[in-house]
Amino acid sequence: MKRLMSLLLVACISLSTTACEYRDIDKILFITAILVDVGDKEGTYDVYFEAFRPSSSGGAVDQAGDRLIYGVTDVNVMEATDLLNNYANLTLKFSQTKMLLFTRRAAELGLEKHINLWHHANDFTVRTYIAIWDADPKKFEEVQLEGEKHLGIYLRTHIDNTEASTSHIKVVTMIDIMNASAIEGKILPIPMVKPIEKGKAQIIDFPGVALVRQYKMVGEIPSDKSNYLMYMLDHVRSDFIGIKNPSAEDAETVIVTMKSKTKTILSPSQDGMKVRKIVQAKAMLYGTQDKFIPSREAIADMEKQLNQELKEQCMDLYETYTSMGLDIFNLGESIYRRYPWFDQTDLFTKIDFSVEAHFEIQGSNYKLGFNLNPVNESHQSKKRR
Amino acid sequence: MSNPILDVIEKTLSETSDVQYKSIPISRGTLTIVFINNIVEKRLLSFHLLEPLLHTLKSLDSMEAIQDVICTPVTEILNTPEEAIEKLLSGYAVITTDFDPRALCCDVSDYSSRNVQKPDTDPVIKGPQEGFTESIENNLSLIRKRIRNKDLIIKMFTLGTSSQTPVAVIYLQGAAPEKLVEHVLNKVSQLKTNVVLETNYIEEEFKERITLFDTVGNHEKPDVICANLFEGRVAIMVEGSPSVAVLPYFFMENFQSPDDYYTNRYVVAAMRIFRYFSFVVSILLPAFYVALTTYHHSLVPMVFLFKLASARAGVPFPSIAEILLMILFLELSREAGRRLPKSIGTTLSLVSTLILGETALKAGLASGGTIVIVGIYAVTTLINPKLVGPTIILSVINVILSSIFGLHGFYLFFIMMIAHLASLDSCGYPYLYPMGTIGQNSSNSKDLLVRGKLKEISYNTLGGKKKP
Repeated sequence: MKRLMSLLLVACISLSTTACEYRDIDKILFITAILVDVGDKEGTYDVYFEAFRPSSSGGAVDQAGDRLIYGVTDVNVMEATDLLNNYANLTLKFSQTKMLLFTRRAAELGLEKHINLWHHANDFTVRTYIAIWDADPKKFEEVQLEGEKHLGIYLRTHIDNTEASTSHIKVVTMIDIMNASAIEGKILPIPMVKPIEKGKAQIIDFPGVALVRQYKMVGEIPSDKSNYLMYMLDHVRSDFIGIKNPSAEDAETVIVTMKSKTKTILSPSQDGMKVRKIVQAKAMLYGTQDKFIPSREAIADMEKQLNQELKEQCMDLYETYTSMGLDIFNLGESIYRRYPWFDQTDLFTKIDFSVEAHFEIQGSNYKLGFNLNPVNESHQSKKRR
Repeated sequence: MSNPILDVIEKTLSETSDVQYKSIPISRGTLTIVFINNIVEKRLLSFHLLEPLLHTLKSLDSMEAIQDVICTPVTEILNTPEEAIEKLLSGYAVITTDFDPRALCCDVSDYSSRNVQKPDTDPVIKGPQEGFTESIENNLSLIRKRIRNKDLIIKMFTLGTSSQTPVAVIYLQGAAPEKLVEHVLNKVSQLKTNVVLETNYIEEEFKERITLFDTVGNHEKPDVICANLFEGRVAIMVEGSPSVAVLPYFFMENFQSPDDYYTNRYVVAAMRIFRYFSFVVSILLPAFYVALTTYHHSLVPMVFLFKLASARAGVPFPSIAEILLMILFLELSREAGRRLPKSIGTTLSLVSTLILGETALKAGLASGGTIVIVGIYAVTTLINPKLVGPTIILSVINVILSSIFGLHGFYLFFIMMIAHLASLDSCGYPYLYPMGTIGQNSSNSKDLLVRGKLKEISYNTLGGKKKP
């Protein structure tokens, strides 16, 4: 019996390993980024692959590997990888594909075919980030970034950092886009990336976010407005907002949001739905032009400015995009989740939308920063006593 | 008239040139002293045997009278030539007369042995430094010095039909479970072997399963053996061996060191965790590396993956061959270093390090990643010296399985290893004790991952009747 069990175990393991094959790590071509553009012929695409090829300059010192770009033009979706297999002398692996990029044209035409193909490829991961390449596809090959040869790797880190520090963009993975497309009318803001030259160096800029609905790019929000979209989507980790300096004329102060929470309050009424977005945020003084004299009035003034600014900007976004028929704050989804019976025909005419913002500006910490909260003040005075 | 015992001795040991016969005429006839030259203490022979005999020659008219005169502490009247020969070979002097058919033996033995020294195994920074020697008497005295207890039982056996080796079974009555004592005594007394030269000759009788792991403990330090005796274990000591076997022995003890009981217990806790960790690393790391770099590339973080891939570029061997060759050369150099004198051993280590490390890397014969992995493997195997042998073999098996089945093989190996360990026992006690055991001793162990207070750690782990 024991022998039988052992044989069974070994057989099961042998069968389960059939999907894998022994392949040394240096005999593999790792695809780090893919760019999809529309081909010259109708229904075809130009696909560019950025690959990492392991290489060593004969010693242990240089182990950075090579950046290879393979381009296949005028092919349909299925042909792209087949052709690439013919071009490359190493085995292709998509497990390290960090970025799946689409040109604006390709995104407007539709991402569905590509997403379906890539996510079915056996070693492709659904965690791959999606972005819109807002530049000439040739730049994909030419771009030379400082500190990292591979655009895919660079972009992945860059997007992570930008999302965490400025909240102008939101990470969108392949699984996100598939999930979003399952909900009718849901809009997903996908980061747009653009290589620009600053002096001699090339850097990647985020000109804004592309609005994708049902796998198609339907609009965009420039980067100076996209952070307000993130407030409404409750996706702010940290954000910088410039307001007037209350202590000096013609000067600005910069406030950094440390924490933000957005609640969506839905109140159905006879003739529609009242939607209130309530933003509660904690912020800190980040920097100031000229002098800044902390006082209860100055802080209150700044908080008021922030509340006003956020409210105006968000309302402006709402009005602009609803006029284009785009539900950028995904209000339809929120309503459907809570009130599935609500008839969403001509949704925007039935919605009474409003934004409330409650910023609280805090010092850097309890002792050293300014503390204008009466509760805290009394606590501090008690401590002193 | 001659003595029958003397006749047999002369006949039996006629070919041996170190047997000495000294005849002394006494009032009723002749007294013959027989001894083996190299294993007796000459001064004892002269002052405690010959001198009293020579001073009282006239009154030596019976074997009892001779026994009364002799000053050596151990004397015994023997009735058969076999007994006499056994005693002779054990360093006794045998006295025969031509008026009495019996013989008298007295202990004047002096086997050459080294002094009590620091043992090479189980070195400690703090705590007793004494180690056992090859003399069973010295070793027993070291035990007696530490346990002055009437319950300390030492049972002597003579094992090996050819070697006639004295063997001592030691235990603390009451602390050691009766079944355990009975089991060990039965095994030892029924042991039929031609030669016993070392403890391992007996240990092998207690290893019932085919395994790489030791299910019988081995220590060269009397304090460790005493602690084990207090826990209710049984020790077996063999003449000619400085290592003393202890039964039962558990897997967890491979990670314990004598130092653990003499130093700060919080530091000890950290050290023990390091030892467990290093065992796991040494067995699993090379195989894990092979599995990830040959099958499951997607599980390696990107930065590591690209570094590893670039480092391997240009290496002529496949990953599996590369790592097995590196381990092979490492073990060869380790084995060579172990047998060589220290001065040459150091040179060898240096050369090996150069060949295995930098030179192999520069020549492109090995990748940096593999060298780092084998380096970590080498260091971690040395942290648990008692497990070096099993670790090497198991690591290689794991590497081979992982190279065939990938991570599936890796998991298979891990499951099978745990199952194998769980299937072992030492004298009927589960080898993984106290882990995975149920009952009164399972969860109250205060000496497993971390050591509890010395006065609180259990001295009754084996279920003996009373605490010592």
